[in-house]
Amino acid sequence: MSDTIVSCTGIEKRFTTLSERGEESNLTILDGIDFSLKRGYFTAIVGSSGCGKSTLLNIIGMLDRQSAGVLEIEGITIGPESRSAEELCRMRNQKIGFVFQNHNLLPEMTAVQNIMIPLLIRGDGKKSAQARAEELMAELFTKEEIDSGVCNRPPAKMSGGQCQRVSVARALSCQPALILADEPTGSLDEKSAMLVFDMLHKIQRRHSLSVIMVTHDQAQARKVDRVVRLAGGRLNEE
Amino acid sequence: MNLFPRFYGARLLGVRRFILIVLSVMAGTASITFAIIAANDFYKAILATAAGSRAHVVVHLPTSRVEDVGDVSARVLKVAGVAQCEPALRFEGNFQFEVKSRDGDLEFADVMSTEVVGYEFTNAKRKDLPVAFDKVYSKANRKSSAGMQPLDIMCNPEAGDVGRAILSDTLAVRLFRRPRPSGNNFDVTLPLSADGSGRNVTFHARTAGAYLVNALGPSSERRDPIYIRLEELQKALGLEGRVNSLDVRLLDPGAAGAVRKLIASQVPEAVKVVSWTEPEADSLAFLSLLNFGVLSAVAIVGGTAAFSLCAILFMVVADKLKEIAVVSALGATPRLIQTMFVLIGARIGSLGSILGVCGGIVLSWGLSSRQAELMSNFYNRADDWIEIPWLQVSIAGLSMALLCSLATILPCFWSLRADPTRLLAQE
Repeated sequence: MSDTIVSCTGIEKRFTTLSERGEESNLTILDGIDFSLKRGYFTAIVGSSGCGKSTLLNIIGMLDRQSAGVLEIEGITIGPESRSAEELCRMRNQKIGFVFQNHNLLPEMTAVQNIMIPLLIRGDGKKSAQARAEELMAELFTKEEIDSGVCNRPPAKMSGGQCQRVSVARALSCQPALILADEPTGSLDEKSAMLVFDMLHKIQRRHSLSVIMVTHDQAQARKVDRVVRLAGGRLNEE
Repeated sequence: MNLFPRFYGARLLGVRRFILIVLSVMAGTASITFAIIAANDFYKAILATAAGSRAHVVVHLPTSRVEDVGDVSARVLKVAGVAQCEPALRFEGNFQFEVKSRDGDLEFADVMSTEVVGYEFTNAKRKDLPVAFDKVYSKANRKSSAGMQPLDIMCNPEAGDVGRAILSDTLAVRLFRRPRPSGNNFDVTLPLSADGSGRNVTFHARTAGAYLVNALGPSSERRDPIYIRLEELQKALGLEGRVNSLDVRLLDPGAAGAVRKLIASQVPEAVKVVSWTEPEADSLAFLSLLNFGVLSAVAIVGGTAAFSLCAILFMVVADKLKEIAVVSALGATPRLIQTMFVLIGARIGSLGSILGVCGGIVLSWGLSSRQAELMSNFYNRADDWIEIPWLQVSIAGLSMALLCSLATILPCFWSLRADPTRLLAQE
């Protein structure tokens, strides 16, 4: 197995915009990103708002397609048009876990059911998916919280921190090679943010996970293995 | 099979919306089922009273001896679709007749011209019946009318001494009294000649109910025919050993029109060939209209149910577009999302259709029973259970289920446009 989990070579992302006068112009967000990530590393991407951090994360997560360049995830090459939507969905489900800024849990489902979703998409049975979800809940929540019935609560009846922890559990459910976290603590208060980050960090260490996290929080950035800064469409090591 | 479409699909719609759509599909299917059963009931009634009581096709011949019609009879029998062909004697005229009660407790009797009635005549049964009459029905018992009615009498010489007479479209004896377990006994006296001056023949009728037409009608399983000696009847008509028509029964009464043409091509041009559908043309036209109405109702109700499902799903998709983007980000393929929508439609369609078919049957049965109950003073209806045309009802139910599945196609395609990068970036 290769030591490199993600490799970006010359990744570009351009948008065509239309001015008020009706003139077309090209907007380059990512301008030849070369980046690779070793297995088991926690990497933070920092940069000013609108510099393209989330766009890069979406491309690595196969939610968006690059305009040019080659992306490799666990040795599988993904060009701008090289894979079908079905293939990308399957790879996303099996290789990548997402943690969004706003937890994005499904409101009509309980915590456990939310964690079961990626497993059911993968084709797991209901019982095994539920067992895995409960196992993750036990890992990410305290015994008191479990005893209070947090597993069977919908997101509306959980705190922001709890929701984000469920979101982390959902990202971990399929045991992905890579976790992509887009400002996972951005919508939390300082205490909850630190709690969620510490937990994510702990989980990453325990399972030797590869994590790419977009953040504005310098304190969190200081705690990770590697920090890269995105500016002017290019990525630089810090 | 991947469980995600079922698991998420069941929750996507929500319980209230699910129940609402199922109820609307159920109501639509129930009304269609009811309409189909009603149309079928009407068609059965026409078949029973018209095609069932008479020959499906009648070949009118010049009055001749039985042995002289054998050649025509053999040619008719060779026509495709013909099941049976019997020589018959028909006689039409106006008759004065009267009703006599054997039980003496008739409240009211009325001779009326309403429905097609079938009577049979045989020698054997007549012998068993008592001859003495208890009472001649009188004006004191409010006899309302005894009019001159056209009467079509027919008998079958080939069946030995068993004859048959059909009183068609003309005679119904309505006896207003409550049914009693021992049945009602009465006699109908007919003067068998064209001017009403001929010899009287009295038929004895025994019915379990109050309404002779239903008790004796060919649709009733409890037929209690009236019998008379064939020779007696032929003698009364002055046509011993003669026949004047061929009575043709078909394998499929519904094909009478087409078979009539085939038979007409096999007999001399002067011979008149009439199918049962001709005198029933008005009823059959009404039935066609009813069927067209049912078909239109199926289209409108089914279309409305499918449209409402489609509209609700559009609302759901608009409401849940972001959630669909989330599951897509989590790896749900377009095919899984499509399957989820089709399953939602199939689940709603199948549940709504099954409940709707059951509801329609219960509604039809309820109305049928209620009708029988309301009219129990006039009709003795033991067969108040309705007959269900399972094939048509099943097709209607399946069509509704299919429509519901098809109704999910547009919302499904719309949901596939959910772009996670755009929708999840809107925070």
